[in-house]
Amino acid sequence: MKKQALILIPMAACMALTGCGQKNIKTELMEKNVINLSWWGNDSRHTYMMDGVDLFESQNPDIDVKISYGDWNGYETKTQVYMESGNEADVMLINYSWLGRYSPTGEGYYDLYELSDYIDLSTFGEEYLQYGIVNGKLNALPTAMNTVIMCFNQDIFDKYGLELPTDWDDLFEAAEVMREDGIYVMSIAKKHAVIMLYSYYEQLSGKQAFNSDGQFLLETSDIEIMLDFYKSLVDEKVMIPLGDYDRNQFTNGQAAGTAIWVSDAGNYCNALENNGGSPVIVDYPMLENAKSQAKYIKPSTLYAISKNTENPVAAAKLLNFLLNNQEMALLTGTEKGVPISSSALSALSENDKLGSYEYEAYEKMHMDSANMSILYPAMENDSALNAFKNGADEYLYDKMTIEEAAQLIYDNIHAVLED
Amino acid sequence: MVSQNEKAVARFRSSQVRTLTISIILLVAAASILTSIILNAAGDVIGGKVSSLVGAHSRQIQLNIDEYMERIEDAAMLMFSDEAYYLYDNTDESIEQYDRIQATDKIFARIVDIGIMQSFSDFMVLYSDGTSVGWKSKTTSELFSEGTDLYEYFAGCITDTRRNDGWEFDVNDIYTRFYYAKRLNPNAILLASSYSRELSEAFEHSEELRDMVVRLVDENEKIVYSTDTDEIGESLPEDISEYISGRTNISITNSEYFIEVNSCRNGWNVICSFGSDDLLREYNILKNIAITATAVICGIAIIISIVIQRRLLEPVSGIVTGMAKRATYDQLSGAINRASFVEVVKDAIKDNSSGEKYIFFAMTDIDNFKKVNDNLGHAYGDEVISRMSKLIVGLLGEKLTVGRMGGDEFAMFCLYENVSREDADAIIQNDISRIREEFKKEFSKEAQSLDVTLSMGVYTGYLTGSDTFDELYRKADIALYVSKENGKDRATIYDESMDEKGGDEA
Repeated sequence: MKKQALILIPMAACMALTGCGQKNIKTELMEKNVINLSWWGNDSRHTYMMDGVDLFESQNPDIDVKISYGDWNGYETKTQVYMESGNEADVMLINYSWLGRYSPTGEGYYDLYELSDYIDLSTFGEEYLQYGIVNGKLNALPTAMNTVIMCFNQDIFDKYGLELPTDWDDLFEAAEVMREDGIYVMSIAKKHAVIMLYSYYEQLSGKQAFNSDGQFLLETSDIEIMLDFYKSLVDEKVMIPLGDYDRNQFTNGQAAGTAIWVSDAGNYCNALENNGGSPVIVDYPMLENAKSQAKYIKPSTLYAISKNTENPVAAAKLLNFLLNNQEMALLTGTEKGVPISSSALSALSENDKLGSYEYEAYEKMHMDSANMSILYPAMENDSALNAFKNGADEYLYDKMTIEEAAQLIYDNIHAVLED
Repeated sequence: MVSQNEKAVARFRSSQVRTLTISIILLVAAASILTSIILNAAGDVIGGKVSSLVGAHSRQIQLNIDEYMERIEDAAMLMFSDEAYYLYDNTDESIEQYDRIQATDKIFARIVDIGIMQSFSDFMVLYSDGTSVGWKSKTTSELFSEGTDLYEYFAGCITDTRRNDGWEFDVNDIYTRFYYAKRLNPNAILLASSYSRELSEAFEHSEELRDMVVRLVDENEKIVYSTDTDEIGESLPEDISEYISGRTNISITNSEYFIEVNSCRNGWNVICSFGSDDLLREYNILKNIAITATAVICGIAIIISIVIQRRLLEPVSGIVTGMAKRATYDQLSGAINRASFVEVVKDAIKDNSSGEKYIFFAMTDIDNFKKVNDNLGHAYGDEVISRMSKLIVGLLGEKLTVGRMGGDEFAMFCLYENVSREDADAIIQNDISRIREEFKKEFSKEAQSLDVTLSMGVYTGYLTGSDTFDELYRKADIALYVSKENGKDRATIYDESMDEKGGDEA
């Protein structure tokens, strides 16, 4: 009996310790709210956005953020594909023009007023909220304000003994000397080039190309003047033809200037500076006796929440983080422009992060903003811009007469906008 | 005074202690061996399970990465849907500017159509003259000052001769992205790039294996992505690299690591490693708990077994003690028996080294004892013997060894040390007188009716080396014989002259 007891005791002990007996193991899985976030941009934006998402996820372990991003070129198509197919991200970086396109009645995006428990709207001035309101519904919140500014490489002008251009004639004069060395005065992307042509024509005629309802107001005769001016810009080597544009032409010295968004000032100026150039931010060229200032302002980008989101609260938390969180503001800096959110702005100012080119551009915009008119979304509608560019190419490369090309542009822009 | 029987009892007791000690040792040994067998088996099982878990995860992560790469390869493949996309050669100077714009616009539209489903950083067609169509990131633009160098570099990365493609990481120390290049025509390649951190989803694995480090390394063992994002772009840690030593699709287990290597479709490797310490940390905690618990349980078991043994052996011990007593003492009289008496005397006279010792050896015999048995019965006779024994033991048991030699015969023995012969004789005389007086008192009734008296034979003398029990006994017995011969009821001291007489009788 004793021996049996002696053997049984440690056996029982070992069985107890090794769990030979049955035991229920309960594993609790944390429920994760999965939301999607999409944006466009370049490397620096992709990097800080991904860092921001990591930070947000660490602060909100119950939310899993899936990301989708891409280059601006083609992003409108991507947006169309996702919006129209009902696959859009829960939180989206959107362009001002998309409000009119996808939410003409204010029903196209989630009404952020309904999520104001999770989004701090007090950091946005009422005048800025207006940009995101459609039909009384807050469809989006602007990150920053934007306008087109000119950026020149001071070194090239110094080399030819030229002053920085302030009017259109200065541009042609500069081209006269620069073209000897194959240098263009300006390399401008499609959107800025077309907006610049609208601006030129508005200065000249006082006629706006679009109204607030998105209607195209120009006649073929107006377009002909713009086309003629564009051809002279190309022929006189003032501007690189749109078809040959490359974003590096300004930063690598093939062109002495460019037109860019205020929010892009850092990207271009820093790149030029890194290549040994001297960037200078200046005003848009202006006609003497211009009939209009013809400068346009808009929110640089906005954040919206999908009307179809299954996780409005998680999406609202992410949106609030992107716009108001001070750590996120420090990651973002002024890459999207100087932020509108007072919380983000104070984070930047307290941390001495406002000395950049974007801030310089922002100051210039801010001082001039009273003279600016709203950049109507139709003006930067990608299809409308393509319609203009394609027609211009037909004329530029002698495939059509100026009348035919102007008619083509007129028809196509109307077709696009009526769509 | 120690008898052989008491020694036997002592031996019994020490064997009891020995048994207990051995039992405890066996218990502890058995518990230790059993515990260690179970723990080792458990360790092996846990190790095996985790190893297969790591293996399964490693394989899953490799499949995820393959799928991710396949998606990029598939996207690139879609450029072959129309000759206008893949055969166009931007370096052909005979193409007119207008046609060039039409062609590149078409290609760009295709890039957008394909690329919008992906999160690419770069997605473009690169031509040998350095021009490009598509999405070209700032980082990639700044890799080389000349577009032609960019083309040359990535043309050199196309290593798969069948599919005409290749993967590249660590271009000019840029660790944040990796590239995929595929040749479209002799003067054009398609170049796509993705951020390495895009792989983080492919790397997701069970929370249970949170200590596992997962790395994707290129063919030079540079870390393309790791769950420890700080080490992206670094080389694979040397010790792990040495354990793997270029092998792939293997599983390595050693004292430091569990390592699982799986090869991806492009020849890069997914390496999952798990420090053995991390892996077994919880197991070791459990092991320590198990060992401690076993030790405590052993301790309790030992205490319980001691108590049980005590309880179990108490009656046995009593029986043994009783048996020992029975073996030593005469049951009827309570005096020690003949054998024990002989033993005690032999032991006492064996050693005569320490000074002079004076022997007292006496024999008593109850005169006419037969009459008691005959007239009053054996029971009464037994009672008489018992009373006789009690009388002597009660009177002198403190200093004398008293033994019943058989029948009504008792023997007494004592060794006087450091006492003069005169003093000793006086003491002895006194003792004899006291016995005789007490006897007369005790048995006065029997003396009257049956003439019961006491005869004694006494031997005294210095102990010599040649003294034996038999000799002492013989001498005392002769003296007793002389007492009987001389009319009983007396004590006779032996002297050598009695030898002839008694010797004949004895």
